[in-house]
Amino acid sequence: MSQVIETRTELISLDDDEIVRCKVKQTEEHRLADAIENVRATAALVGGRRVFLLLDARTATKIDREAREYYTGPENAKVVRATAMLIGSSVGRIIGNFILRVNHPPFPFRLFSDEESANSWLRDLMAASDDDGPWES
Amino acid sequence: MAPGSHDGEEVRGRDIEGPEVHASDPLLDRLRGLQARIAQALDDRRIESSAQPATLCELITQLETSTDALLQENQRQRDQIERTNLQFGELVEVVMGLAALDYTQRATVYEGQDDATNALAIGLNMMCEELEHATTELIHTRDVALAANRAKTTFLANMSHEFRTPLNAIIGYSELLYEEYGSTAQPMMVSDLERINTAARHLLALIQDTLDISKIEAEKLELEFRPFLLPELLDDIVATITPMIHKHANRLEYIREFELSIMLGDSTRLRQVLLNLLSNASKFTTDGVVTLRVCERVGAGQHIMDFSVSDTGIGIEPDMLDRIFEAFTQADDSTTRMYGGTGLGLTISRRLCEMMGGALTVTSRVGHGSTFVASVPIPPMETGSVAAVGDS
Repeated sequence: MSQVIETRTELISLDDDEIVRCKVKQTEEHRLADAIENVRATAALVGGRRVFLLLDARTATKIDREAREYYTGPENAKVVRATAMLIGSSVGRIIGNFILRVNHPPFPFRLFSDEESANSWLRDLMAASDDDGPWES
Repeated sequence: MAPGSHDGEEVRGRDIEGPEVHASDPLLDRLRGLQARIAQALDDRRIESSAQPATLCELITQLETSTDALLQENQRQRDQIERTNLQFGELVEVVMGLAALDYTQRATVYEGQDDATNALAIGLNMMCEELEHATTELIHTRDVALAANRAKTTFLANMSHEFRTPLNAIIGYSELLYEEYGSTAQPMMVSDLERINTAARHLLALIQDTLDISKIEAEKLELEFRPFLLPELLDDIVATITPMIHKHANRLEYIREFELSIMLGDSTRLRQVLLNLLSNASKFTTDGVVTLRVCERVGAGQHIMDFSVSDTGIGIEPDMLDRIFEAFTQADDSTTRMYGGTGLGLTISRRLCEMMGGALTVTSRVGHGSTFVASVPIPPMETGSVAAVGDS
């Protein structure tokens, strides 16, 4: 059974498959305070472990520069091992590509338009990390 | 309007086509069908004289409902078009801002607007945010660098002054000792005095070069344009450089190809450039010829004086020809060890030529020698300047 935390901008859940799923709510704008709140909520949910994260940004609209920087910075890298970002529109593709090309996340980060492919990619990464032992870098 | 409040003539007279809509609009087609049925009903009523008010009222109600729906849809489309036009206007403003390097503008993202247009607005806004941030960082970095450069210039100027005072004392006292005891002292002591004097003068020249380049870089070096006697200046330069030319077993050729006698310019800085070029030519040539050729020409509508210094020395590798004008650069590190120098002379000379409105160029062949040409425009002189030089 999954545990869920709701923040101003996201619904964050840790499922039985050990993947954290963040669903972006339709809010006005994702700001730095929201990014900090979401990263802290994720950290609290997983108890300090670094996790594989599925970010469902299909309803995302706006995210400011500071928030983007925080999500791709060292604080988030302490919590996240890899992120699969689900996008469903041109807006999502623009935001996702921008994060990927401009902010350069320090962990594996990939865009998906289909949820199963995103889950599959994360599961493959998890399996690879199990084979290689703890993935802490 | 309440159903049944119109008679048949009023309904017939209404403009039920309303605002302009697309010809294949299904709502409009239904409305047209309704219009035809009403017309048919009215005609039947007239012909048969048997009114069917219930049916007619029902038709009128349907017609009013359909008309309202059509008007609402038209209004929604008009709002959409207006919003799209407004958003595109904003997008154009943002793009124009980007083209003018103004990254402060943002486009509005409208709820309910089509995805592609909003994606365009969001993408442009994110680009603007990043560019604005990067520009702010660059300006900050530039300001810090400029402040550091100003501090460096001030430090160099102060330190140069502090160094020069004791060095001048060392030079002065070594010359004094040489004059007093030169004829009577032991040869070893004379040699030591000469070494002290040479080393101190070299150090003074280094300090002077460093001070010059820091002043040029800080744009604090100002030229003093005054009329001077060019032949006398050149004779003086030749006399000054001759001992150095002979020291390296070279021969100096001075070719004068100009008629001008009085020139307007900064004679001190011109002298500095030519002495630097001639001492370089002499330094990198042994048992050869150093030629100073001065000629006047007209180019690009102005009179130009070309000061050409050629040598038959070691020459410069082609890939080093541009680099030798960079500060602290000589053809290679071994050059500094073998021939000495700070690597600042050519940088200073080129910058001085540029400040005079001219240029310093070089051509060279390895093993055959080099030719440096300092081209300096000759500004026209005001009446009375000639007399002023004569008087002085």
